[in-house]
Amino acid sequence: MNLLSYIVFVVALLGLALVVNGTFNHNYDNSRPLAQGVTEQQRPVNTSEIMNLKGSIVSLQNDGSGVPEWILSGRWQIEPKTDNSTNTTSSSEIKFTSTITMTSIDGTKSHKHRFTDFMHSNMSIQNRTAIIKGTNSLVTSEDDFGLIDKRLENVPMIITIMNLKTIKIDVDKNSVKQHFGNFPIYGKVG
Amino acid sequence: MSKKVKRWLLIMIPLLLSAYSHLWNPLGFPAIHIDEGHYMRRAMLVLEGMGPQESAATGYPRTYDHPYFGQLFLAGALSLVGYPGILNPDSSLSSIQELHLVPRILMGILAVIDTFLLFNIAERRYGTAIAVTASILFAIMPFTWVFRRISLEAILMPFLLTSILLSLHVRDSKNIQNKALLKLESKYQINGNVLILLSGIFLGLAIYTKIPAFTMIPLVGTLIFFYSGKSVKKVGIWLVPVLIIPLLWPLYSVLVGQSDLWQHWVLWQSERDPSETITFVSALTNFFKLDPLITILGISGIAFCTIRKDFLPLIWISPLLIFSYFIEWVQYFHLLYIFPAMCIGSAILLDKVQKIIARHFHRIISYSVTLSIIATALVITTMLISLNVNTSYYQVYATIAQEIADTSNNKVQSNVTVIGSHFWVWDSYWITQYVLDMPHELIDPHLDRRFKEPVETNNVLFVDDPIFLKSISRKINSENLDKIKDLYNKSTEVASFTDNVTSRETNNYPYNTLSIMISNEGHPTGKVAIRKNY
Repeated sequence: MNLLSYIVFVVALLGLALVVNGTFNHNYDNSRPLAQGVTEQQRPVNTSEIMNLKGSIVSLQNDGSGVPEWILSGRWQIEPKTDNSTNTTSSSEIKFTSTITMTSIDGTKSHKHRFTDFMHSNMSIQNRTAIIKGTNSLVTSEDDFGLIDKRLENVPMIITIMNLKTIKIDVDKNSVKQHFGNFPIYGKVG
Repeated sequence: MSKKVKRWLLIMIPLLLSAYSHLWNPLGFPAIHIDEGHYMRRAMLVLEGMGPQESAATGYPRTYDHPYFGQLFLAGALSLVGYPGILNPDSSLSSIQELHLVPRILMGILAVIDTFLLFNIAERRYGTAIAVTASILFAIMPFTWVFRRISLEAILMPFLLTSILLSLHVRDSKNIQNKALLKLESKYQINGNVLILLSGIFLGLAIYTKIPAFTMIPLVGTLIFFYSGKSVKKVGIWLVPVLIIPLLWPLYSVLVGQSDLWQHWVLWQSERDPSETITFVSALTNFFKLDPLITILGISGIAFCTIRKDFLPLIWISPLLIFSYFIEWVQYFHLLYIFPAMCIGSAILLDKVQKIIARHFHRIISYSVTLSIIATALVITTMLISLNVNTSYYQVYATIAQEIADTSNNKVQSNVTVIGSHFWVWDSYWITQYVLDMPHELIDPHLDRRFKEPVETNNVLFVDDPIFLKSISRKINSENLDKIKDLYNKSTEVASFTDNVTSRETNNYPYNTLSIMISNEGHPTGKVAIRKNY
């Protein structure tokens, strides 16, 4: 190897040393979070974040052979339960209400449901998933087909909020005579 | 005239053209891209001794999205001229423009260096005639304006081209029969192994700037293999720096105990969902719309080379195109790597056409095709680079800086939150925060879509544009948003401007470039008002 090659090689190594030095040698503060986005996605959800959530119902209900039969749309809301006697809101007890319109795929039939009088029994949070158990009253209107009673009391349901983004409403099938099919009702937050 | 002088005169033609197309009116064209603000902010952090890895607490929340050489190089080059201190920066319009001018001139100089390197690559491989045409095309074809922006692709390009050039200079000493020549070469030329290592170092630095540069490994690796006499060992030597230098990035994350974050953001970057407007097909379409001539000539030229069993241009472009096809989230400027290959392919085709014409007609006529393409490209590029599309950008920026500085009371507002669209919040951050040392908070509705960050300062400065207004008019159950709306309603307008980026936009080429130039970066157009509540 000639002198020129040595010089070039040494200059290249010095340049590389500068890059390595630039990468590692600085006043870095390790105590600062490096990614708010990550911490946000990994941070467990707390009860207060579940309160006051609301959103829309966006779901399909299939018939027995798995073919979409009904389009479910509507709104839902979670609020802190208010004690009427003291006019105070609970920090852990919640109230869930929802209105759902079921329209047949061919657009010829339509009726409405309302979930009301939610009786909260239990809420658990696992990381970013909140599971709320309770019973509800299901009020049905414009039902010309007599498939379901106008009002059903104490219908058990499990509400699952995932990542504060989506909602899954599992209604006890037997209590509603499988009116909502074999799958949960899905929706979005916001 | 000696051969050497003639050669240098020939080199000067593309270099002068390149200097014109990349250094003329750098403030006016092209529109400032949101990423320019990001890269300048990171360079400022390096200059302030904060290192190349920014924290989400003080900077952009999407950390570990790119390796570090981009900001290290920018900071190093800018510090050589004493930037930003040498400009005595303040919040005036002229100062804001000067602060943008210097890095854009640096990018222009890099593009001129690229032109020089491309000339040498093409000359080494195909001869001087093709080198002149290829480098002139690189210098003045309309797509070349993309090099005027502060982008990672433009920063890494000289390193990539140097790596390619060095690989073409690797010699197989075993096959040099003339021992006297070998002795002479060994005295005045750089040793083959050193060249191989240098080529690897330069490609390693290019990948350490932006990961997709790894798609150039097949090209340079193949050149090293064949130019070194099909030596696998030499390819192995070359691969060492190519692989080790980019590993500094994950190594850094391991050393600071954040390898999980590194993995998260690398996956985020590689798995970004393509939108309707950001797809591989739309990137190719925009490439064509921005420069139909080089697209047609380049593809035809590369096909012509392939038919002639010269696979260099094909190996140059195919790995990146295949990678982009699978990545899907691709924009037109991500295809910058293939532009030099398109120029070389075009030059080879034009050379062939020229020779055919020369055979049947006069030699002077044979140059007419190439010259008319060059003349057309020069006119189109001139039409574009003489536009001033950033006038209102600098005015808005200066107003934000002045309002944070609160020059009326001759003091810096230390407790200001800037709220606006993603584009303005981040593009206006690096100068105010790091150059003018006016620390302020910011709220970006694009990244904080549900307005989870509360306003924690008494003073709020709004950059009000159509995108921002849309973001705060969304129906979101958020007390923070309610407060922001309240503050917004109580704020008063201190200045308003009309964004002029697309004012010359027409469907006719080349002015269709203007909307493509700002596509997919959330650049608000229309009225931009500055409002404050203090």
